[in-house]
Amino acid sequence: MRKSVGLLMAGIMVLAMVLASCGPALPEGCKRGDVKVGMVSDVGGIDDASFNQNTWEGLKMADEKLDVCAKFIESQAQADYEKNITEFAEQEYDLIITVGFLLGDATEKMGKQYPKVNFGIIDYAYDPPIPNVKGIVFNVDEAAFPIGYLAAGWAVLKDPADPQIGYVGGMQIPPVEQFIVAYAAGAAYYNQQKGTNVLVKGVYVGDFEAPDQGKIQGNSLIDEGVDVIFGVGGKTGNGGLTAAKERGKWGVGVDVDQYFTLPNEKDILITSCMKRLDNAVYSVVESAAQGKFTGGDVYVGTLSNNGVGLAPYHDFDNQIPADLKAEIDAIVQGIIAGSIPTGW
Amino acid sequence: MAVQSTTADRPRTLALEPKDLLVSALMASIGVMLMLLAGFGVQPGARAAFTDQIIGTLFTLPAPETLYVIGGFCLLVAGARLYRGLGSLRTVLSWLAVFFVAFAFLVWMTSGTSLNLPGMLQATLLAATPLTLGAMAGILCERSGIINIAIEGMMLTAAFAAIAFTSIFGSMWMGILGACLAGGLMAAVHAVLSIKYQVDQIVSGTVINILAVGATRFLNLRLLEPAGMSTPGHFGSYRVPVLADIPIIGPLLFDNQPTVFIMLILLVLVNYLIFATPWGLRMRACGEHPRAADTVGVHVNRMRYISVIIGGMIAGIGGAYFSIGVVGTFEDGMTRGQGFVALAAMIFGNWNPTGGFLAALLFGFADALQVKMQILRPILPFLNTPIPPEFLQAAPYILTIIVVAGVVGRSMAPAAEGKPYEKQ
Repeated sequence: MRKSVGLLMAGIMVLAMVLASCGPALPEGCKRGDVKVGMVSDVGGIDDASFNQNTWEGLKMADEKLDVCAKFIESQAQADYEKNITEFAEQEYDLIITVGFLLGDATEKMGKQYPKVNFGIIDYAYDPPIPNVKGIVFNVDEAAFPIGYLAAGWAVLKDPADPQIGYVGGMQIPPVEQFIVAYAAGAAYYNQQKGTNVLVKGVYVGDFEAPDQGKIQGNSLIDEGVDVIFGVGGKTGNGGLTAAKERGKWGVGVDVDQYFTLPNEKDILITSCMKRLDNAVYSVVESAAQGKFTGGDVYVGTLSNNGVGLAPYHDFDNQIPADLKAEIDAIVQGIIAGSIPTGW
Repeated sequence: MAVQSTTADRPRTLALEPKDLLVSALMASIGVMLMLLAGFGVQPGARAAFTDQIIGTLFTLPAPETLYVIGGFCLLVAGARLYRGLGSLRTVLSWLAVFFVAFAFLVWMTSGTSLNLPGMLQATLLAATPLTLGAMAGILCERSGIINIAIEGMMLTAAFAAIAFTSIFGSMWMGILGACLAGGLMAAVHAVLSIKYQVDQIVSGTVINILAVGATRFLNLRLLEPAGMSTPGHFGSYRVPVLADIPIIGPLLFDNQPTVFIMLILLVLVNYLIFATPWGLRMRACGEHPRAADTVGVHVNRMRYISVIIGGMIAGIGGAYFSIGVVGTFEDGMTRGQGFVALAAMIFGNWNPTGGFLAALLFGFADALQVKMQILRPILPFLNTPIPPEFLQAAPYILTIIVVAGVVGRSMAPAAEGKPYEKQ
């Protein structure tokens, strides 16, 4: 009997381990001569409706249009980063895209360990540069600043007695702060232009995968009078938008045009602050496919190269006053021209 | 036990135990800290306004004066702790002090601005809901003699099942049912492993936790999402007519999502079941002295099966809170270790449902407090910086460690817990 128990336990353990690590897809469907590109996601999951998913969209686009074969491994925990990168490196992939600031240390270490493999890392730029690693960064502040202005204008329109805007952030790390600092600066710019006093209040949940906490904390912000919530932080931020929806307030999406990824909350989104990871990753992969990949430098997504941008107003297109829209457009032009600082 | 009885037998002296000195010193330093805050951390004459969504301003307090009074009260309690003659009054005073200190923090944060107090209490109750359900699951399990560290895994599986059932049957209530079944199923696995096969109960629990992470992730990614069934929506608020219109208390208790109501009802039922029915007495006997229970004709292992599975079903409702209760989607590992915090609440609450509920409220309040601190950003005097959010986010867990380490109070596990029972 003891033996059968042991077997049973072992069986369950093995099953658990296998299920817990949906391992790397075998390079099936790859043609000889294809440039092999591997993507190591952050813990949010490939289906996070924002960050990882958007990067994967860019890779899929490259897979279809170019002589490229793209695969991904999802990281289950921060401890998996190096292991997953090694997986691709050992299989002699040509280019490995690591998705996110939190993979910075792992990518640096593995980049030095595998000097013949090229790397691209989202949201990280190394100083001093590493010759085979390309940083892919985004001036999201350029898009977040006009959005802060828009949110402030909307709050004044809807709640003139006590206009306030807020944010529900994931972890307090620079790529998240970059959104929020510029968002607050945009609101401050609105106050300065219009002589209003729109307050900015916000919370960092400390987690990108806690929609329940995001919602509770979004409710907490609304309790304190916030009218527009900017959800910055994967699924946690989405929870903040859920709170806004339930309480009859408004929200701003992040990373992608969340009007299309959040069916339940789309009708309260006045816009989304887009970080076009798909475009950026596609252009990096394209350069690799053409043999023109350069390491040790940085790709910067900006308003002018469509690396970042404001999503359409969708359902609010008719409700946002024309003069506010015109001011937003002017600010966008001002930022591109360099005449308006974003505060980051 | 032996140590305790000698303490009781000893004639009551005025000698102080190290614990009294420690608590007293802690209280005194908190008192001094509050006085410093009053002097340097708030503007003189600043008022703290507490507001409500519907009523508007509830009351305002002069911030420095309030802090001085509460700080003084802490010093008083610190002194009282050293005087043994007060007996159990000292415990009451200590808890009163804890309550007032929490309030003092609120006043400090709010000085010169306003804070929505009922909203904060509502957030506390919400955060406490899965913790209380998890704690009750643990209590049912452990009171019958089976250690349960698999609450996390049961909740996670149930969170997933709730989404799946809601999508398939198109009803949230079917989702709750599915969550119950999934929780019960995982509990049944735990029960079979630990009762029939006498596997180490910690190992069995660990296996279930790991299995839940992998299985839910796999099923979600490969089945639910491709079928377009991963976003069935979530429960809205249910208003209890009339009662929900009572100011402050109404929105807090009677305008909530159903899992909160279920939790409150189960709290009463489980308390009754464990402490007021013959079944509860037998069940507890199985956890304290299974041989004795067996001698009088109680089927020990059958009792344990039933308790563990009922516990799993309750944990399942806790899991449903996370998915269909709040956001309407399933995310990998979305229970985020709350099952383990629920265990801490169970221990803090001394294996008693009401105690577990109060502990869960305390954890929930700590969480709500850190959120408000981030929103209001009170500036620490001398350091001239707001309290870093990372520190605040860690606060509930630091509290948990303190509780589990047994610094606060003394909790007593069921005597026969973790020991398999074989009929002789």
